[in-house]
Amino acid sequence: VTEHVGELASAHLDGELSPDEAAAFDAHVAECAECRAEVVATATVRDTLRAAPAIDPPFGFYERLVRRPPSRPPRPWWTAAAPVVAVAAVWIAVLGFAVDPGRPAVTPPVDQIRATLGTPDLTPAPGFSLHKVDPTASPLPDSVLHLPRHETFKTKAGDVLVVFGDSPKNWLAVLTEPGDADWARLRGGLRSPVAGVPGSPWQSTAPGAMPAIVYQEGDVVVTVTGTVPADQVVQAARDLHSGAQPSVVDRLRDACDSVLDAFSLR
Amino acid sequence: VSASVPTWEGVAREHGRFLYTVAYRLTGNHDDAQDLVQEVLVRVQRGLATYRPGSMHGWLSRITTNAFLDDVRKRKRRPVDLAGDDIERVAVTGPDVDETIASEQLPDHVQAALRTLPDDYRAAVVLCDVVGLSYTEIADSLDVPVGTVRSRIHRGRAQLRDVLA
Repeated sequence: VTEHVGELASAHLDGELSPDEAAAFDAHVAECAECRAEVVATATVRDTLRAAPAIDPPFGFYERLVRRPPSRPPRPWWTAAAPVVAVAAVWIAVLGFAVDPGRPAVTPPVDQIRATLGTPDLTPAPGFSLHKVDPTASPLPDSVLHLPRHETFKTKAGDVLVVFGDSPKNWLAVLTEPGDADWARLRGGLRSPVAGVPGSPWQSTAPGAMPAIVYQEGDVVVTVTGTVPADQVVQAARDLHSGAQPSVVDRLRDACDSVLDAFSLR
Repeated sequence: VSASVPTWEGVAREHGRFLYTVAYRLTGNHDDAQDLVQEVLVRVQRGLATYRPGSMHGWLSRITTNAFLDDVRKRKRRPVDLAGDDIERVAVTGPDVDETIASEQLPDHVQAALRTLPDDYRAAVVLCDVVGLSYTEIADSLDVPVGTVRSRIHRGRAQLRDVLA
């Protein structure tokens, strides 16, 4: 019996042995059960790897790169996640009274923020500022889903949060952020087309999570959430998107501008 | 000649899925795969002048494995940072959309097994079984002798076999 050739099993399967090596390999394997087993086992692994399908990048990954060329250093995930964290912090800081602490967070950082904040204390998480702005100063809609406009806040440069509602138990919040949605960072939900809402919006799906929908409208990311049922949140998004021109989102975008001016942030 | 020189946007458009697949198989998670693809496209942008018409997949996978191994070496020089990263990752790990998509596309145990391989072995196995390069091309990409490629691929597969068993 010649020397074992198991080490050559991969090269043999890949057609990478020279004719002489291949002949010697075949001759040995014909006589050696151990090496035959090695070939079979290696072939199984090789087949498994080769049969594995291609992997799709997250939705819109390359589209975002094309808009934001890669020569710009990639943003670390924590800054990319900042808008989501900010949204969560704002919900908790402003509307914390209405958020059931037993409910799962829509994004993982929410849990950490909630833990830092403590349940009854409504102090905004470190690094987040919140300014109430004069609601009459901006051309905002007076109501959404028959919920009257309650308060308008500037959360950070360019973001506007508008709260509609008639009680702490019954409210709807609309947040607009200039820029592109970072879909890959949103947790606890799924993206799928929704009639009447642009693009392929993201909706929270985690059991018991706050109903929320996030969609891109032009150069603004719109987040709608609230204590109302999920279908009403979607309906609110539809109302915001469609209907009269300029659309509500257009007006919110104008509101962003006026808020920026008001706070001399330009 | 200029017509045959691709742009990085063109590379992303035409070969984005291939590129992402290689990056994902090497890194084993979407966050690192996205970072790696961005780095590859930066290198593509810089290196387009040196691109000679031929196998685009071969060229891209060579850039990708080199960028990956460069990053691995860089991280190894910063053990403290790496430990910090790991803690961060554990803290934010949870079911999310990306992971769901990935697990649908490739059985978790296979991708998990790939992650257990030493980086050099994984690079050789990915170039062989995901990209489909010949041993000579792999040797060329990794700048090692063909004999080394041969043993890395076999040892890599043997290790996967044990992990998957």
